[in-house]
Amino acid sequence: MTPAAARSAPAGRPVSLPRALVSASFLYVWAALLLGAGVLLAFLVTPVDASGLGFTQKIFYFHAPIAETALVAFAVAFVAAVLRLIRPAAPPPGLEVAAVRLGLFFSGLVMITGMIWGRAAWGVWWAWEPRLTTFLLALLVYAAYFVVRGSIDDEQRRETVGSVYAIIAFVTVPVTFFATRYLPDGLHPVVITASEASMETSMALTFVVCTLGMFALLAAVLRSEIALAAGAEALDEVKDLLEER
Amino acid sequence: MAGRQLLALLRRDLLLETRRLQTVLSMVIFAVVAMVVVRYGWSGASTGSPGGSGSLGGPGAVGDAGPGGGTVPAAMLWVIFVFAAMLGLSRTFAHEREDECLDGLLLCPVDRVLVFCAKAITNLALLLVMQVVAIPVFGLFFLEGSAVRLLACTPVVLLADIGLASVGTLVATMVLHARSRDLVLPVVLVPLLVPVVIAATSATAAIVDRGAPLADVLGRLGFLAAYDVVFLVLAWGTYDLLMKD
Repeated sequence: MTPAAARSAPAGRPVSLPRALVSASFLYVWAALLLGAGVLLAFLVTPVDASGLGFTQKIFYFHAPIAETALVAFAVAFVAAVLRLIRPAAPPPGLEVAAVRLGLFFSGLVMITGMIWGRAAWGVWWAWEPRLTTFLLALLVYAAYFVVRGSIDDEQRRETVGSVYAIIAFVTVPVTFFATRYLPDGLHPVVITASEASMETSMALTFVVCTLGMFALLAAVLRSEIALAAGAEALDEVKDLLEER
Repeated sequence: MAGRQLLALLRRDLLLETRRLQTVLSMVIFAVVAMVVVRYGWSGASTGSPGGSGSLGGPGAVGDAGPGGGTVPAAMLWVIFVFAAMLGLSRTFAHEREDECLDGLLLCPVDRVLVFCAKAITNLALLLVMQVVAIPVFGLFFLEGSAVRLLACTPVVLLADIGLASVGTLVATMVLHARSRDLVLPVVLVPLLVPVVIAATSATAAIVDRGAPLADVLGRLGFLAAYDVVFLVLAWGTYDLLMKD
């Protein structure tokens, strides 16, 4: 909600049920419920992997959803950047920056969980194989996003250059996603393809629940960040009005 | 009309570079000095320490395995090229900044994309001139008997250079108004160039170390070509926004 709209909106107007269900508060509740259910399913319902990874395979139910959430966050940043360049008033303020920040956070978590799993599965903390290398590359490219933004003083130019960079950086996302499919000489397994998921029903259900939980968490934090950015913008407007007086 | 405008801009940029030769000389000197350092450092790692009291000692035999195995020379070649390229790319808009004629360039009644094309072609020319000197030196220092294989790397070098020049020019434009642009440019540019370096290094190593024919590296050449096309299209779509006053 823009500051102008906030000033003109009548106080105490009831919120419709669909809007309430996707508000930040409810999204946090959704995320907690789904992730809680995912944890219970992962440790109490799904069988121990029979392929040799054993109990360590269960990190897959968190590692893969975190990775997908990171890529989705970068995709949100890409869409927000494109919208901002085509129609500057269209995306909510702060959405692009928040999406990149969250994408970096989830990418960091992917690296950590991946290294833990890699140590258990492959015996090494790090291997220079396609999926790991391309994900690290995406993380570095998006980390530079904040270097670019932080170096430009003019606000308008900072927003434009940041959006252009977010579009350029998105090139690394499909490269990362398709690395294991088109560069098969790697250690990273391909579990889910377009035609099948190489896991039994309880495993697939747990994976889906954890993925939805991570997506809900991403959406909740994005909603909070957008609200914070709108509040900061309103505060700046009030400060400018006071200074004019 | 666009062709004549491009030729006029290109002539201007090349004339500025050839008048003082500062940029291209710096790139050549850096590349050669870096190769000397790497050659001595490589021989020191593989043979223990330089022999002879009171003398520098000579480099080890070309057949010695370097710390990274057979691909060390190819990787070093492309790392040196990237850092030499950054010396040139950091000077992309130096004339406009130092002589305060950026506004004059922006006031020219030309499509901003033509400015990108002229700058990118100039950077490509500087890279090629540097490599015409650096590649024979590389052959002399690292390859001796198999230096003639470097000729087969010509398509790899050309495609990689187009990627370096196009991405480099785009990023140089993004940081044009940035504070500490000499610090920001490498931080932003190098992660974006990693795919080019990986593909070019891999192809060069296959050709030089294993004597592979070009047909064996067509996949990597295709990747380089696709990378070049993607970033040229991105530059075509976003350069107008980056060059706004």
